[in-house]
Amino acid sequence: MFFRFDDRLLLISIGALVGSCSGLAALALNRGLIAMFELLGHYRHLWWAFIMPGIGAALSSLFLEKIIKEGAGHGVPEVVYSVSRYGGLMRFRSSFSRLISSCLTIGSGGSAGPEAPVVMSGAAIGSNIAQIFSLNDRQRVALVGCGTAGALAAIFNAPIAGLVFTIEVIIGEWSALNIVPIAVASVFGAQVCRLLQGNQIAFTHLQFNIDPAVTIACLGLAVATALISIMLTRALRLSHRVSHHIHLPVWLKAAIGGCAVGLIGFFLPDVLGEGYYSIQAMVEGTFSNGLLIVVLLVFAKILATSFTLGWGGSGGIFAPCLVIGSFTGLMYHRFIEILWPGVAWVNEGCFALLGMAGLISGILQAPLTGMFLIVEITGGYEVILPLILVSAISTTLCHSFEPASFYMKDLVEKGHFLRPRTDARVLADLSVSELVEKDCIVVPKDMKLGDFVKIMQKSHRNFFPVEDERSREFLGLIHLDDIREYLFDPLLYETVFLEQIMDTQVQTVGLDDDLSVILDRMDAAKLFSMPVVANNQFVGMISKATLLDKYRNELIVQTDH
Amino acid sequence: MKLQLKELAAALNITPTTAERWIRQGRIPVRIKENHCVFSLASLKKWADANSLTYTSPGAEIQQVPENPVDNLHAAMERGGVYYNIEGGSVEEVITAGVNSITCFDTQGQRESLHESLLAREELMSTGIGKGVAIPHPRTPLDYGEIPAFITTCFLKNPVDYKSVDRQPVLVLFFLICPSSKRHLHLLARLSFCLREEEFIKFLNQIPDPAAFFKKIAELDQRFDAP
Repeated sequence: MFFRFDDRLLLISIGALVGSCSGLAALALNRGLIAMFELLGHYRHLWWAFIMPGIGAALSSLFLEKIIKEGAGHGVPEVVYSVSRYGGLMRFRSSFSRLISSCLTIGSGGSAGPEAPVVMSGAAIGSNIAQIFSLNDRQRVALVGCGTAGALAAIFNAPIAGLVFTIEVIIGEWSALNIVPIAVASVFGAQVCRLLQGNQIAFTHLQFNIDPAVTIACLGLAVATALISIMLTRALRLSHRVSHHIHLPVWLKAAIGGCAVGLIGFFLPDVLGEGYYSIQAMVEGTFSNGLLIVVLLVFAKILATSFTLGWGGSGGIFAPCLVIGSFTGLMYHRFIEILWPGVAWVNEGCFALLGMAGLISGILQAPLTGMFLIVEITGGYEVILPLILVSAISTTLCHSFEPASFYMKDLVEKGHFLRPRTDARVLADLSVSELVEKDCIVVPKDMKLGDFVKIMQKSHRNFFPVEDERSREFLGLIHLDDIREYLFDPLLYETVFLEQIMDTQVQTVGLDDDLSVILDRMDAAKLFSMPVVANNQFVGMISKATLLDKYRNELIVQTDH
Repeated sequence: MKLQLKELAAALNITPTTAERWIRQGRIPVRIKENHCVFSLASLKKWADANSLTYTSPGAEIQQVPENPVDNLHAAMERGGVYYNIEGGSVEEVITAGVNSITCFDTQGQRESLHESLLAREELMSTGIGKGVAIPHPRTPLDYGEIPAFITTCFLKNPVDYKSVDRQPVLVLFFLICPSSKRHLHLLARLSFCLREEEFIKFLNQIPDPAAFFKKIAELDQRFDAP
């Protein structure tokens, strides 16, 4: 087949298909959410409306746990995990599970965003299409990226943000081989959305006149967004931990979280749902609440998002970030207006927009995603200068307090965050069975030293594993350095058995052990090689010398394209 | 081109596990089709070149000629020959007479340089190892071109004071001439194995004829090689 032999053309063609499919998935969730809002909108003013987010979250949790048998989660870390560990392998059911569960959570009023579920769904679509075409890991990862980009491009009508987010957050590798198909998928995703929904910019805004005062003021805003980002990250993690320690059924916890959100929303309805209506009002400059209410809203939204996501609801943090970001921008604007009343500040919509960029960049620690996303969803290229500053400073500040972004923190802690072309990646790919050296001569424990000396003459290794002749069980290791002084005493030849001179306290490794762990153990004990033992039997030796050899090979192969 | 996974791994000198993983991860231009590795030879070779690997076609592996073919004492001694009634009253005289009897050289120059280096070695320390035996040899291997290692055995007419370690006069000289240190050690180990046997020393003292001598050496060679 022609396509088989041209990798790039193959990826571009399938990438376009994946982009279109994930665009459709994004559109489906969007329509679903609108339908849910319309359906439940009639009941929002009733006193019992606060339980609606609870019911939604509980249903979404039951759906994920009982029917789909998947844990809740943000979606994005799961995609990064599958890319890091399994070459982008994802289950088919993931392509629709999050759409339904997040529709239930968000549609009922839960404070979460539809983007991460759509990203996961798009990624799963890409992964499964790759499997249909029986592609290899590298191609599959590219298609997972295509799915992600198509979905994000469609839901925000922002093709560049889709591309940049995928490369910066999901794949972590800027290579032409990935960028080209992902860019094409982004185009197709956005195009599908425009065909079926019209070419709308998500948040239209007024014309802003950016003077140097704004650029200077945005430095303070960057600090504010960074602080709020760190606060949101920690609140989410705290809420996860608290809910983890409460021993209740998962759906019940989700329901409790949902009801708490409902209660907050009863008094401050702006925190409910994805919150795009509030963003629109803020960007247009028609949000009329005063400074205190806005400050309250920032914290209420952080709380509501923590209750929704930390307690088992399903959804992403993109939309909450945008809402909290615009609240932060607004708060900052109100604050500096009070501080310097004489200055003619630009419209508050501009600060709402910059706040969004600051928060997205801070939480994701992905400055480019923050910049491009906000420029695209607001169409506000004229704010690009302060936008870049806010994104860059916010990311840097957040990074110094939280070295790993909110999405990646768990993965980093568990050692699952493996970016291409890194030491961790190379070590994770190599397995013990690829490095084991099998040219050791195994000797029985009953052998006399005299016989051993003859065997020793034939081996070019310094290590001799000792085993039980009958059970083949590994008993210990003889290292020539340890017994050198006895080797030249023929008196001992007939009287000493190997059992008496072997080292039984030897550290061993298994075939499934992680190489990074093995290397740490070697360094700690100052060893250059260790025996590999499986099922109590000696398999071979693993040494730093061979490791360096294979490591270099692997590094060259992995970085060649 | 089609190969089994194992054959492909062997051709690239990597483990089958690595080969399988690289194919799965898409790092190598090879596909799996019906349990076979399918690839274009040209692109695989190009890829191997770019990745510091070498592709050796299966079956076309060059039979590596061992640097030093296994050689035993018998062969080396046959090449060197056995000589009797070597005359001389001192170390220098017997060495000169011994070297003159060696027939393995093409030119007089080679003989002279050997003679010189043997005497230099004796000046440093006697090669008389005791029990009436000496093993004259140069300190470092000499460049004799294509000549393989050989041992020339010389039975002296009269025992000579050789300043041996046990101060016994020497009756037998084994001229040990090798092209490399490794060959030298190899043959010296075998020779010393023989000389450890009291019976062999007695046998030497009887000044055996060449047939009996070579037979005995062949026997000892076999014992040395026995596990």
